[in-house]
Amino acid sequence: MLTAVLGQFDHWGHRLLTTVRNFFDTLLMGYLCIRATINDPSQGFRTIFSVVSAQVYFTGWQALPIISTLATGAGAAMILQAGSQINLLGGVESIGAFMMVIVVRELSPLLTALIVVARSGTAVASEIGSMKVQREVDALDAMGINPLSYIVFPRLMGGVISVVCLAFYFNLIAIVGGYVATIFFHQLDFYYYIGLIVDSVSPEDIFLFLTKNIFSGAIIFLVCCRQGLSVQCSSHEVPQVTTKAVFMSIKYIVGFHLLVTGLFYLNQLIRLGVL
Amino acid sequence: MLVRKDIQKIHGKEMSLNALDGSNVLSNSSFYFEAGDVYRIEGKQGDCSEFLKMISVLNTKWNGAFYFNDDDLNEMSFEEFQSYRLNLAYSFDHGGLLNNKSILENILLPLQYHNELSLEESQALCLEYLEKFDLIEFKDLRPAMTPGYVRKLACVIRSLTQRPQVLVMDGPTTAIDREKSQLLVDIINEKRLSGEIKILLFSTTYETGFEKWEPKTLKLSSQGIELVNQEDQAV
Repeated sequence: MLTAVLGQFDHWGHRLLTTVRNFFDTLLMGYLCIRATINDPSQGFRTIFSVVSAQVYFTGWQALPIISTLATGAGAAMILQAGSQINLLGGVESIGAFMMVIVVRELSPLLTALIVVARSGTAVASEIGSMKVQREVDALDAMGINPLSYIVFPRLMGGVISVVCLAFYFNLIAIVGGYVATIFFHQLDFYYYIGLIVDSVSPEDIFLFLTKNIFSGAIIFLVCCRQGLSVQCSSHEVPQVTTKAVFMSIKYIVGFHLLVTGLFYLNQLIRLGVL
Repeated sequence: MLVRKDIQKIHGKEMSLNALDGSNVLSNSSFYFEAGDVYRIEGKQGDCSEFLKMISVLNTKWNGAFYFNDDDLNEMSFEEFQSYRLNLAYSFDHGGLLNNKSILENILLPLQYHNELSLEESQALCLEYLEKFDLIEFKDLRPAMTPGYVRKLACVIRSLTQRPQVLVMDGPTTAIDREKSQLLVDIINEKRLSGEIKILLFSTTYETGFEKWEPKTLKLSSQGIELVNQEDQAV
């Protein structure tokens, strides 16, 4: 009995240590790739820009249709819900704040990150994994090209730019597209509605939006690059690391979003004098 | 621009080396290569590749003292090693080309990246090699769309265009026909005799034609690294 309990503790301890090690290894890789890029006198802006622009195209531009669909659906659902519960929420004036809190602060960073994990995170992990198997990473090393600055940094940069732009696009479509989608169900003047949204934007919203999206982008692409680079020599490892990259990315993103939201509302409560 | 560092010798003391699968390739072995040396590496299949990768600082699973000139690699970062790296080229036994680039782009990549030559000069150099080996028709194709010998030669050509002082080649003529193999041997021999290539290490299983390089043979075994008698050598 005691042995079984201790065994369970060992298991939890091992998992905790693995998680902590993975987390710090990922952070270390982020630091090393930025350091390698700054320290590399050979790697010009042109080399980085070509990979960053390709990454923005694949991660950002090509994800626009699915983000549009999701944002319209989310925005429409929010407006319909807000419309039906408007009296409970404090009248039609509260619709702007409602959209800002639910869509801009919470839904758009989370849904955008999940879409990017599903589309681009998997692609990056499997691409880098295949590069390892095909010895492309060794080849870069042999040519004196640091894989961290040539492979990881541009994907990280492109990923962060894409996630921020996609989340901004998500907000626009959710706010405007959601309204247009519900126009037949709900009598609300468009300019009045937009005015309500604009009035409810606060500096905190911009701070939360940028913090969540910049770090989400960094988390996704660092985790996926690291998992891809962890492939040793066999192609059967590629799908395994891809699955692991998705799982870890989602875990870190959800944890990070909860932490930021928690700290934000804690700060609000302290400012209001509740705590 | 990064300045190349002259490589006069590469040596290791009491070195142990493991392959990716964890198997032991070297244990407490020493080696010494200096300018003018040409060595053919023999041993268990796979071990030679790991040894050559270690010499090219691609396999990091080694222990012991490993020096380029008198600089200890244990104390050098990637950036600090770069000036040696530019004078060291490695040709893979298979793979080693970037799949999202064409054959020409693959060969051009190190030249463009390190900015040692202008784009026109780099292109002219690469095209000259491609023409010599009759590969011009493949220059705009991606590696996956070309036959094996084209990929192999592209890898070899890329290592030659880097103009290294130390050239490490894993099975340099595998999958290449006799005529092109001979051409390759002649080109490398010319560079060796002119002093451009100072240290040449290669492994080969069954191919012949390397007599021109006058190589000595090193045999890898679990007992260590052993120099094979010149009389017993069959190149």
